[in-house]
Amino acid sequence: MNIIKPSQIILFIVLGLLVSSVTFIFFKLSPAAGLSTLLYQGFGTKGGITGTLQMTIPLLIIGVGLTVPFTAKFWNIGAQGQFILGEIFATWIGLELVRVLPPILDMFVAVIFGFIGGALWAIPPTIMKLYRGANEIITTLMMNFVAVFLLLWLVSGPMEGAQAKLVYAPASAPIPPNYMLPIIPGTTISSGIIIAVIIAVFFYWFLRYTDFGYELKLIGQSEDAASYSGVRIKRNIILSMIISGGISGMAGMVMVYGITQTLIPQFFSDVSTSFGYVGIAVAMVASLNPIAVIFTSIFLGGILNGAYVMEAIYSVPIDVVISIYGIVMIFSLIGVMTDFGRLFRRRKAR
Amino acid sequence: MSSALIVLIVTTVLIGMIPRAMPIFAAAIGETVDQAAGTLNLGVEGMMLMGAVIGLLVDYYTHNLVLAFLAAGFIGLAFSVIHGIVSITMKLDQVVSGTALWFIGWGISGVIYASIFGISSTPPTVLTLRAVYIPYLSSIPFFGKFIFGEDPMAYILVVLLIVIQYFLFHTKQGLNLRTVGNDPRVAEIMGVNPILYRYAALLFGGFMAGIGGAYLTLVIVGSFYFDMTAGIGFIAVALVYFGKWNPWRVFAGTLIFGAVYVFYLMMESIYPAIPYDFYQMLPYLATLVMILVIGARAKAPTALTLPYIKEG
Amino acid sequence: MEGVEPIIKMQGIVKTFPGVIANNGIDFEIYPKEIHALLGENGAGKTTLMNILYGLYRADSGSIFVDGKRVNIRNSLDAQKLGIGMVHQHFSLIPSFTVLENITIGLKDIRVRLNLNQVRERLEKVMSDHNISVNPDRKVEELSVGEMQRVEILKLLFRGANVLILDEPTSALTPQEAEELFNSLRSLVREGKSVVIITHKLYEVFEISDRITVLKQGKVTYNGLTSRTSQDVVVEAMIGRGVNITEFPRENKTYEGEMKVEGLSIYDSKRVPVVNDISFELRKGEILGIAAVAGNGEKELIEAIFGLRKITKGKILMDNRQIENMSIKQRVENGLGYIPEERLTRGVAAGLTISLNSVIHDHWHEPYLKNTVLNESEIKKFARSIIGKFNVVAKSESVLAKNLSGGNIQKFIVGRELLRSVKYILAVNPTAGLDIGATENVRNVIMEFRNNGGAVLLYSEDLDELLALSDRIMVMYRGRFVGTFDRNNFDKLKIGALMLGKGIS
Repeated sequence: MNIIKPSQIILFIVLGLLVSSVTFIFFKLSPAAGLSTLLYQGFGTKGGITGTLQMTIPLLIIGVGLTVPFTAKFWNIGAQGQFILGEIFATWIGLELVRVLPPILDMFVAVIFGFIGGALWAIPPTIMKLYRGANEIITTLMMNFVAVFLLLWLVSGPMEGAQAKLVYAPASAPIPPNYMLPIIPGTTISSGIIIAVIIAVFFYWFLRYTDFGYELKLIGQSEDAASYSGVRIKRNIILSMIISGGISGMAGMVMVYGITQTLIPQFFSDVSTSFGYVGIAVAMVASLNPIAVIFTSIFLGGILNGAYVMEAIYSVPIDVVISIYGIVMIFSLIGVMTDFGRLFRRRKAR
Repeated sequence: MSSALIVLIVTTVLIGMIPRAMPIFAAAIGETVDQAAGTLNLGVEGMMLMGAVIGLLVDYYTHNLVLAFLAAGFIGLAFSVIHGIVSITMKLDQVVSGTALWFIGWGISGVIYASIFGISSTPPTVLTLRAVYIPYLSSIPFFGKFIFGEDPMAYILVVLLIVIQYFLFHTKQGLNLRTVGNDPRVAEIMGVNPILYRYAALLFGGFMAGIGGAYLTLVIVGSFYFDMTAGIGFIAVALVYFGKWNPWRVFAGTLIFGAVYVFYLMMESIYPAIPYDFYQMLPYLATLVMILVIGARAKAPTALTLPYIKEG
Repeated sequence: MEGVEPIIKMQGIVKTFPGVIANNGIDFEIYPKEIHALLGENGAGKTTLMNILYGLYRADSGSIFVDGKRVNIRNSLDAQKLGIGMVHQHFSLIPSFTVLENITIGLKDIRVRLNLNQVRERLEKVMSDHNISVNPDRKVEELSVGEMQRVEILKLLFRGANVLILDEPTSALTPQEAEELFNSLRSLVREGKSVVIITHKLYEVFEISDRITVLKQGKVTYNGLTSRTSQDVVVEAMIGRGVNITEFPRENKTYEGEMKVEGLSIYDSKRVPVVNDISFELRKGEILGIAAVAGNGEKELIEAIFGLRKITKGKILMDNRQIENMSIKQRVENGLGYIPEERLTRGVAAGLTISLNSVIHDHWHEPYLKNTVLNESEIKKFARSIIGKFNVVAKSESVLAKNLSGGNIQKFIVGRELLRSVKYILAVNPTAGLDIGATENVRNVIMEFRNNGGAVLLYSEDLDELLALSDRIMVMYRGRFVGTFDRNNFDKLKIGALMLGKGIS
């Protein structure tokens, strides 16, 4: 977690947007017109903001979860798989217990199971890295693919809902409406967003004020200094991955219980459900600061939302969004690492 | 299962695995050279996607496959230039810059495809490579027609395998490159320029990743769809570890993967009891198992992922 | 050899690094058919000087003449073309390559095709010409240290070196291997080559060299033929007569408790003892200094006591508790502190704030941690007290450690270790690179700690510092203690001689 100013984050995002707006030319749209439409649709209309905030929910939770291992420089690329496993576990237990438990308890159990699902998915690659030296990027990524297919099998087979069978669109049975997370009155936004913000605040506190957070920072900064301090590196990394996987799993629960209502397959081509990958960008651009993640998830979520509308109006494909994320990531990498944001601050001071 | 069925399965796998293996191999041979020089390129996936789309594009407009492949290679090379600047010259984290390039390639390739061909229109038909039959050898009964009747790109790649093997282990430049990957300081003392070799390796790796992507669109599939590489780039990176940075072993690894892909496509019709989805998991599970097996005992070029910092 | 012109002449070489003048106007000459020993304490400038000759560093000013002609050596390739070759202390070999491949790296006269057989033929000729041989097809990692060194020498001879520079060549050799090396060197010299050996071992100097140059703090303090001088002259040139500059106020009370090390040995991966059966006592209220030339096991000893290194044999007791199996955290909790030499990479986490760095050892207990929550105000208070008491120049405790100057980081680390509730402190080169004020400050603080009952195990490359601070000094040479001196019989020359292995062959 770095000390980062909101102005820096905005700078990186703005630069990223500017550079990638060049692609609008391909669609006979001037960069300025494209950008402004994108931003307007994402943030300017009531429908836009609502959609954005809905997108933000899983992004925010996953992004926060990723800040934990990333702080220790353990690259968890598997948030997508952990998210999916969380969805699976939460939906399965939730549906089973609908018969026996009232909504509140059912949700409670679902959250816990979501956490467990994600955490379990995160453990094997972690062990492989710590005890075999296997590159965690590749292993966590492979787990993502396995998860996608696992999900696909489950919702077209064992977990397929009765209604889904009729329409040949694989999905689970839906969570009964009264078991869903409540909507914030006056809006159509799920209260999941409140849960998300609470998680962000909690983890900000956690990374900054607990000894565990401190040790993760030490490990990420310098393994030599960490061993000098006497920190148990392996134990800390395993814990951080359990937390990260678990949180992504919780995001899965919130996704089903708050937004989609059923468990549906994730397709690679579907950017809008690739929260695990977008979450990586969200966390990195926020410089691993959970409070900043609130902002980056809203921004990046809004860009995604706006891009959907752009797709409808101008036929600009949604994929442009992923490239925006990549470009923004590079800028934030360069910016944070070379303290180029400091340059910006100094210039302002004069 | 009757023995005839087994023969059929084996034959189909053997025949089908070569084209399926080639894209992975193209990316993997590039990554092999990269890693031998001590750089880790995680943006391979994005470069492959870019190569796939650009290759398709150039083919569509020019109907010239040579140009298409070259263009694909060059776009991959261009991406690796960025990776080089960020990780070699600016000495920033190779992992993050590789991942970012993956995203960028992923996104832009989709954008380019959609912008040229539209989102919902039917995929264009393009010229794809057709088989070239090697005289005499292709007359061998049973296999001849298939193994020696591959598309020209596959032949080129096999030749490249031999060339790279020779390059790495039988030329002075290859020795220098491997020295850089093991200990750039020693290289410098002995008069070898580590920066030069690392950049060169990255450029080659990027070019090959682009070619690998183009192979997918121009030979196997005939069209493009978003995220068509589905992790192949990363599998290629893992294969380089598995092959212990030795081109022949890497090639063998890619063939195994090609076989796995064909295998699961087939098994679905033959043995439907096991759900298709589980078969689809196979390549990824296989990668995990592979990594687990060789683990850290693989002898990495010692300076892998460490930026080279001059002193004095 | 009078009347002969030197083949290499270095004149007026000046080289500075940030904060230190490594070479301060040095003249150095290498004559044909001679072995020239280059001596000096750590940091005296010997390796720097030779690195300049070999093209790895550029001198700030001065000139180099080869065969009477002025030359410009920009890199090691230029040096090689002039017939100069250097073997560093840490070999420039790739362990997983064969001997043949290592020799071949970077050869200029090969174009593309690697014809190893041709190289092999040439190598065999070189080997037979100079009577130095190694199996060309073995991997370097399988070779003994002596054989590796032969590969390094062969590399130079292969490229036509006439002047061979060897940096601490016997530091990792067994006595027999050292003898073999000397025989090879003598025969090379007979053939017409010149050799420069950088060493700190007296016996070697007098056994094998024809000429000696001694450097001290970047300047030449002695230069002459070996046959015309004695060990004492050389030692004095290296170390200087030097009187203890400062006397610190010393309180001599006795305290309960001590650290005891018994029979400590550390073997490296090739089963060579780096630390060899060391035993000593460190009493509370005492500073025990270790005098050693770098590379004689002193750092490994200290790292092992702290817990950063595994020991092969022996016991370490702190206040009668055995700690050799304890984790670092446990040792720290029992009152052990460490001021490491590697400031930026080990002593602090460079990217964290000073405030966070101040609790690197203490973040798991009160008052800094209560119910798993870090108490930021207590931490800041502690950080501020370190900054204040030790004059650390920093805008505030929220500055990142890496933005402090080297000297200030050191002041901070020393201050942190001393202000914590520790009883025993291990210190390695605590005042290296600090300006006079900071140095005085640190030394005063260490004395104060000692006067209040603390114990310090001090290793310093600065012998004057050791003499000023220590109550007792133990000399370490090749992993063993070869002499102990109490404060009232400190004898700088005797200590220096023992450090250089006088009386030991």
